[in-house]
Amino acid sequence: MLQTTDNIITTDNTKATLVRRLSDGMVRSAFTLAAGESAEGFEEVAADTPDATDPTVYKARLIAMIRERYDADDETALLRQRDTKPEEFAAYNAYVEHCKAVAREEITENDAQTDGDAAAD
Amino acid sequence: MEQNKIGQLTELQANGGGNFITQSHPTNFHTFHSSVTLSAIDSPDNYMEVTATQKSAIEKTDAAWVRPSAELIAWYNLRCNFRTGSGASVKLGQYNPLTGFFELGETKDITTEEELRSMAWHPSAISPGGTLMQGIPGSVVLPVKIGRSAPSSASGAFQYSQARVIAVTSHYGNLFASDITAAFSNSSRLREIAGTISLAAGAATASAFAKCSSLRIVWIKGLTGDISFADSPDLRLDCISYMVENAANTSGITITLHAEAFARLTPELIAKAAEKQITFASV
Repeated sequence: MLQTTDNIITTDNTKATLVRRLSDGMVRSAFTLAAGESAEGFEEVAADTPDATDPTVYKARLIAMIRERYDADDETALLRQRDTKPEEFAAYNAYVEHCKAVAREEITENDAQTDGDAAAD
Repeated sequence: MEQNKIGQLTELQANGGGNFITQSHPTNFHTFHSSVTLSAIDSPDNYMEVTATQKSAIEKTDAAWVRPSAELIAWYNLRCNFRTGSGASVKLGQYNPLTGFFELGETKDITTEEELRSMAWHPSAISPGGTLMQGIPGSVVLPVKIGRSAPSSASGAFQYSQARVIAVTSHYGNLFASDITAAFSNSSRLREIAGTISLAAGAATASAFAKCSSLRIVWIKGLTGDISFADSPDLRLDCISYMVENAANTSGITITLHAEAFARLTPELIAKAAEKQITFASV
């Protein structure tokens, strides 16, 4: 259960659960509250919940999804031939954009997260 | 160590029979007394009690000290005192004749040997984004200028360093950085970054201090985005406070701290940060 004391929000069982900030999916054991923030902006999550603001989490998921269709050699070839085979490059690019959207959604459970997107770009 | 009041003054008295009181700060010129009367501006924190055995060991170390050459002292002082592009003077370190140590920032116990090792291998400037300093073996990095026209990238510049103190600067006096991604990461011995890191708006800071498990002192101004000190339990409260005081964020940002550093936050600092839309988070 979340508890707030002296403007610090945490859980009553920090070994098993953590606090997730709903606005960006950041997961930590405790947060201080900024002006205008309240406990309603946070939720208790399991300790193994991925941190949506950790670019490595997002990036790892994104790369895994891309590799389901393209390996690293495919990507190199597509980039090298982007001017001579624009349709293949466009298909690749559309797929990557799709993967980015799905990865974001999976991690944050909403479409507001953009930090990891920028980091991966 | 016993403290007695004598009028307005404080007297320190060694507790154990045969023990002595001596300076607690780094010096090569220890003095030993059974009691010390402090002047009005002196503090008990400047002294410690030692046994006769410890006294002998300290005296042996002090006796082995050799005064650095005047040329080396002059070189060091010149190296740590420099002019910025605008002609302003910046002083990050000096030789202290009262202790016999070289100083850099708040690190007051740099030996002549460390200083010689440092000057032997490193340059006074590196290019933006340069990797020359990565994995540096020395324990002290004298002021290094990064970039000639600001803001410059210091991405990865000092990662995997073995240094315990690194001094940073630029053409502008402060290190004026557009990017400090992984700049000091994996530098587990690093205790102090001397000089100020002035961040440009939107500067990238990801993993800048990752695995910096000994970091205590770093001065950062101009923070506009999230930053993490998750691996630095000893990060000083005054450094965190400076970061909040000098942040330039226009929207909410988060400073992630190690649980031990988070536990030292005061209600006053939390309130000040909250006013500036700065949240502290604990790993």
